Amino acid sequence: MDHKEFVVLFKDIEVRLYRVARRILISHEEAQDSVQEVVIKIWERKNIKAQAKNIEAYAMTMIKNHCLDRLKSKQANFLRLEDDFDDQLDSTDDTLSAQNDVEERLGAVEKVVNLLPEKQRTVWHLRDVEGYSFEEIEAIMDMNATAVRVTLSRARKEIRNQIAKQYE
Amino acid sequence: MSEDQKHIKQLLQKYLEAKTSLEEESQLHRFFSQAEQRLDSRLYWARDLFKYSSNEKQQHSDFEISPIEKGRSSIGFYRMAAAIAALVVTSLGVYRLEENYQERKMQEAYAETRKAFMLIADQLQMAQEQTVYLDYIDQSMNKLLK
Repeated sequence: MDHKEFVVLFKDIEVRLYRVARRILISHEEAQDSVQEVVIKIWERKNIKAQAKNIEAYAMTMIKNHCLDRLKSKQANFLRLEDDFDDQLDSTDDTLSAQNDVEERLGAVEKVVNLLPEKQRTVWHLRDVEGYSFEEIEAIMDMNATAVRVTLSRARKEIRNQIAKQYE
Repeated sequence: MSEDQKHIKQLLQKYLEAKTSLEEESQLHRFFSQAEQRLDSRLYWARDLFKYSSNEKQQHSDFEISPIEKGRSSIGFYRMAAAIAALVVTSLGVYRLEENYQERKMQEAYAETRKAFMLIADQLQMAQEQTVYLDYIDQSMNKLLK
């Protein structure tokens, strides 16, 4: 694969890598840095064969590991992710009603999703936003089939509970 | 409640257990994207959630990095250039500082030495004066003794 083919192939993948990175790290800058670093790493491993689906799962695994490592080292340093993450922590007891406009309601969902533990929100994102199959998610997350389903089910139920609570 | 909503509720139950297929999940997406007027309030959470995840699929599609052209070489080059510049500036600074320091040290040493010589010179001068004085005494003694 030469440079041109690589760029074309990664044009689509980069967007998904960024969304996953953003989901894990919350911050735009951190997500952007992570994607850049991971894509460079993949390019440097010249022996990759041009099999789009495989390379995508491979890239996804790398970005997930990269972001989780980043998250861990930050938590180890007692650093906060970003200011808006703090805001999100504060404002989950908002109440919703039919009067709220769509934007407010979607904002409330985002808060709920981003407050899930990182494994749950990553698995949820890979399935419900990126639309990966269970087999793909198992490979990306390095989890077995049962673990993926249990994690996904927990994430979905928690999201349901939190949103439903706001409508009570 | 419509038949549709009954079917959707069953699907949602499966969805929560993580047992829906991708096809069933897109059914749910389709259902909730068409804003239904008389939606059971118990389905509000699902309407919001599916609207959100549908939306997210369209997000950031303009995100772009070209790591090899823009990202890699230029950043690498600028970083390298910046590093070299920083190194040159720092070493120049340290060198100048070192030079200044040594010059100052030398001046100090010179001043100290000079002071020491002056002191010796003073002492010598005094000693000389005293010798002269002694000479006087000597002469006076001689006068007296004569």
